Amino acid sequence: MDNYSGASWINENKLMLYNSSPENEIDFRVESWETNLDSLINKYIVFEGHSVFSEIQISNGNDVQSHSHAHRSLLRAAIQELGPDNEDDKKLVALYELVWSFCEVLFIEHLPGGCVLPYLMELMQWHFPQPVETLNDVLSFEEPMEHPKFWDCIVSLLFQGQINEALALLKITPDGGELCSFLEKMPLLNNFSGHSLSEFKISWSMWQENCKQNLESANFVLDQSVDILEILCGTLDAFIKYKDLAQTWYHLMTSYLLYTMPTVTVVTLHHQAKEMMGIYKDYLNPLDEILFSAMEFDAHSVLTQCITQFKNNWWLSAHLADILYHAKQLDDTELQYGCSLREYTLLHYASELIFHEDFWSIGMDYFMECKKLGKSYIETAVPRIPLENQNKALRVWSACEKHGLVSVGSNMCRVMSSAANQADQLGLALIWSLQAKDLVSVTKISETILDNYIETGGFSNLDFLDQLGNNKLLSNRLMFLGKYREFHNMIKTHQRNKAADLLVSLVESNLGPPRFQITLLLDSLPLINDADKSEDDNGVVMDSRQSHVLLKALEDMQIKKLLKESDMQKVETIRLALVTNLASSFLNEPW
Amino acid sequence: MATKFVGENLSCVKWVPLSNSVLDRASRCITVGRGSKTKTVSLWECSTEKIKLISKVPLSSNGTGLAFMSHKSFVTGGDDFDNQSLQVWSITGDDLEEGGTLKTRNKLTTCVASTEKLVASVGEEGHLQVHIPTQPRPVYSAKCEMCLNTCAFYLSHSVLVGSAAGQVHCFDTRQQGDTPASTMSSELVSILGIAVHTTQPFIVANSRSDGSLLIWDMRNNRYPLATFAGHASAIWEVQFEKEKSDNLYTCSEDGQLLMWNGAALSGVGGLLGGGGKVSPWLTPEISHQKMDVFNLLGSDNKLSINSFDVLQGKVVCGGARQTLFCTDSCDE
Repeated sequence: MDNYSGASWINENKLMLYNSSPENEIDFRVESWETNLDSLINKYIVFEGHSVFSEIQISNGNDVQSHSHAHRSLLRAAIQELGPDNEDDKKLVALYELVWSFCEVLFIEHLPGGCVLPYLMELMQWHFPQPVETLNDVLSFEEPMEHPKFWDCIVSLLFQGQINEALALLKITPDGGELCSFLEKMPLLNNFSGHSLSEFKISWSMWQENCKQNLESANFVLDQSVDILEILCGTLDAFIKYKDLAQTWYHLMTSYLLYTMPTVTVVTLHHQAKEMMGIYKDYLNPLDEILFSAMEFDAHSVLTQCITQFKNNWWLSAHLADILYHAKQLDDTELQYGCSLREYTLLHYASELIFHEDFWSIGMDYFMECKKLGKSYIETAVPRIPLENQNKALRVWSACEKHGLVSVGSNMCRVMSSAANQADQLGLALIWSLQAKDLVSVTKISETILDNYIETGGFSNLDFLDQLGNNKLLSNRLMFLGKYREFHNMIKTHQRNKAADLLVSLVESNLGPPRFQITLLLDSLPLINDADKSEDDNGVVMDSRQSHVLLKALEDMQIKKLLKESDMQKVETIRLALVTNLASSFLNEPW
Repeated sequence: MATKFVGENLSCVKWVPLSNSVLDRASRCITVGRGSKTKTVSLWECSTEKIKLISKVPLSSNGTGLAFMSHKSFVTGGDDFDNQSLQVWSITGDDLEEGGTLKTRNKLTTCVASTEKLVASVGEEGHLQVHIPTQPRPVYSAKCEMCLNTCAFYLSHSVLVGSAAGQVHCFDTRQQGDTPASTMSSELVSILGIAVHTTQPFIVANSRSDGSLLIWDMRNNRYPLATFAGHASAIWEVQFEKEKSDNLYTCSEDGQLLMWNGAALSGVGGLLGGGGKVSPWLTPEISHQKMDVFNLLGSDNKLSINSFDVLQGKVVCGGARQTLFCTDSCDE
């Protein structure tokens, strides 16, 4: 690597090293390295996320809830199905899932009566599955009470509102009877269908009042039983005592609310959140800030923090911004970046994708959803997609056509045409130029084919030129080339009169390159010299007018000095033949 | 339908042929990857309920073609510029083993076709080469001045090749030389797939880069019999079903896998379709008749399906979505 004098970025994970010294002009090397998009689990969420994203755009904001569920379940599927083999990436996707779940509950779900707790509780059960795991472990013990985590397990089950599981363990404790009687009577919001919220509130306060009265008079054998009853009474100290079991402030907050304010609404949630964050203030990390912003209903802040924290991977920011926008939780106002926050995140995500060999077409789809800057970004990005083979070129071209990117597509065709030209594949070069409707290039290639004909006397296998159809109209030279092939086909099939007419019209029209005129005139020789063998038109294929036209063309060439020294012999032969033909035609033509 | 995320762009998906077509059921398929950083040749256990990886071997360059000689051996093409060759593979139990290589003149092979004894390959440089798998040197070579995208064996001794200039050339392997025995030409639209009817081999279907499908009668090939606009974008592969030979399948850049229910029009499906009755693809009214066309993948998939295969009414397919699908073909 020491030999290279300069470097230039191709894209985020490719660097071109080059040597600019004059004697070593084309010495360069491309260095590339893996991005975090290359792992299986990340690839999976990119593809599946794109599928859901496309549906959201089609449905135009209808049914946002089910689309959000789709995003969340794809993240969960990725963790469960592909997680075990990709531990590091699994952690990242698990974080996405957590942030997504919180935002879904707070911004997108329609909460009956505004009660958020049942949703949060379900979230905690999914994200902190340890209590159930410990329960199985405890139950597998011969004497479950002897298990070191017996009481921890009961508390964590109570923290997660898993009342029935907690009851199963409490029953075997000395104070079980009394505690179970409280717990069994606990009204739960999930089971309280058919009644109004105020009825629930009344019955719940009565239940807790009852608990509190008993707390003062209770005479338990074990200290832990007092702790359990204190939890049921919603005593904050009891929760703080077991805060390690909750692990995070949001888990402790959910548990605390279950025993203090089960009908809490999203609007008041952030007061509790602040209090609980205070308890964990030494352990807070950026993720906690993101979740707190969500509880404050600050979608903008959630997104900007996601952008900062997950700066190497825009999956979460882009999809979250999009779903919040469609849920009407994020406005479309233009920020100092020159576009809305949604568009900003989509542009970055798309830029990340478009230079990846697996995701370039997906990247284009994301760009196309950016109404303001998408098109200009895509116009810069597409020409940098490597076109390794014809198949890839066809795919890129087809994607450009699908998105209506005419000029980008044409430019790509020009590049392919020029590459084919350099590889001496003239036919292929012509086809790409025709695709680009590039007049200059079509003309140039047609002339090269004609030049090759002058040199070799053949068109090799370019028989597709007979199939040009309307494409001929694009360029005079191509029209000439097509017609000239037609002339040869006529000669082959012995249509001599038609061939003569076509030849004269080709000479007359000046469609061909000036240096080709002499070849055309030479082509008239077999028509004239073999005329005697022909049975039609009294042996003369060209009439006097046609002979005149050809003679004039010959004179013009001499006047314009288009002829080389070496052509003089040919000129004499042609002139002699034409004059002879003129004479014979005079004899045959009626006066 | 079963799906499996495989994590690589699939360029070819083919069922492993059955050793005994009466007793055996289609259960294993081979996939070949291209484009992605990880590229493999993989053997899968496939059913419409579950897809399971059996074995995989990493590839150093893109895999660009796949054709079976028998239920135990197959050949793949590639784009390894330093080592221009086709790779022969064998399936031994649950293992894939690399066999010999066959030298080719194409730097980038685009398609491989095979019979039990011969392997034909075409490439971007325009070479057609036919090998006997046991001999490294080709037994037949021809050169077109055009990028060739696809090839298929026609009858026992001819090979059809489709070019980027919209032509299908028929090369007779008994005559050496670059001139084709016949040529079928239409507009300047790249030919991407060729399929030969299983019981009436003079019916040939071509798929093209503009999403259209042409049907030819090889006995009179001045003009196509019919043209269908089936897909919104390039059709990568086309295939007649082996058992119900009048059913046609196409897969495309637009993410669809279509089944063209020709057997329903012929009245009698199956192998007998070719016996007494005229195939519906040969009737002049075919392009005006209402043919049932089913999209086997539903509208969810928007990314290119590059390759597929049908065997015993079961379809496997895959593509840019990096997912392998296995589904039943619906021919009700």
